Amino acid sequence: MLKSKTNISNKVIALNGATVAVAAVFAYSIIVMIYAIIRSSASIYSIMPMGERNSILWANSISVAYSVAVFSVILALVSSIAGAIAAVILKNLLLYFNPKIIFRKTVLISCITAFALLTFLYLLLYALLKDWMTFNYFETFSFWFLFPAVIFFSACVIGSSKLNRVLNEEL
Amino acid sequence: MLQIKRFIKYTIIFYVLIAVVYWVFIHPAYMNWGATSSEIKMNLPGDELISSNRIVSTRAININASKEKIWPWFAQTGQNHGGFNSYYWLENLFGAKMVNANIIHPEWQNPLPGDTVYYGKNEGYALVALVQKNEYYSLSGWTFYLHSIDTATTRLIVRYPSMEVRQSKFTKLYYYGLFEPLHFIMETGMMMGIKQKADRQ
Repeated sequence: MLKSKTNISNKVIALNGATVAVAAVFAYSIIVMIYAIIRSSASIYSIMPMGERNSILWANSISVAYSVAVFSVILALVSSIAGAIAAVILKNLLLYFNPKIIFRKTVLISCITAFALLTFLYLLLYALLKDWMTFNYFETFSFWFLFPAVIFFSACVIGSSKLNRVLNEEL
Repeated sequence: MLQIKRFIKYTIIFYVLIAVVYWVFIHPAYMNWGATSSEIKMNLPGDELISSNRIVSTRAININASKEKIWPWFAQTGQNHGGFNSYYWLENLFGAKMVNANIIHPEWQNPLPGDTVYYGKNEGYALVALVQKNEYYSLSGWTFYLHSIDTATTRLIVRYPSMEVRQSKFTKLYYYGLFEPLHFIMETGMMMGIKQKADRQ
């Protein structure tokens, strides 16, 4: 069985999965930070007279950046667990269902796994948040669901493609 | 993987820099943004509702309109009424389901002490504690006070009692890490939102 031949331990895979998840949260947070700063600054710019504008623009921008940074560190800690679990699941599924390490099959398995994990995560979120979850506003929908789903999906597919290459080289 | 780790490292450095700038330059200035030293010290209606162990901020802004033109926007405050006139798109990221009214609604113009003002759909609420038409409006000590400078200019002074000084470490972390900067963003957003609407009139 191929599984027993690979030297890549679940621990290493979990660590890599966690690292990718943290990087994804940070990247997403920086995009959100820039968006929130630009949008709120545009409002401030249009309201405040010139002499009073600069101080509030700076204070608002740094406060937005600071709160997004704090929030993203908390989210990164939570996401690192999800990333580690997803990576270990992916690796074991790949080894089990794709012993010949065929690239197209790897992509298919990673897509199915990502979809299943996302469905599970969103059902869990819905059970926890219930009425707080709303799809009425494009910003809310994109911020909490659409963009994170795209990032998670891409991370799963790209991550498993890299894993596919590593396993190919190793085996 | 090396590039990803490098990205994480630089992001953490960036976050630390942001935190330093925030704590050294921004935080000391924004607690009393726009307010003069006499405004910070002055007694406002609703001060009696604030216990002495609270961290209190006083913020102020000039609005080019009379009190009578500004008042209707306060009267209809709340998620269950005309919104908070702040960054609704930020509030809605957290499920507040906020809609800021762009017109004055006559049916919401008579707030009374004891009325419920929601911060978001299914979220927290506050009760109107004090209200004096064209003068002040207080939600459990969070007071909005209108002071005429001349017939066409009004000073809006906002006093907010936030966290109690003695708290657990977790509450302090939440307060200093998230609540306080977010409250500053939303409260100044509200003050500027009302300025914009009243100025337009």
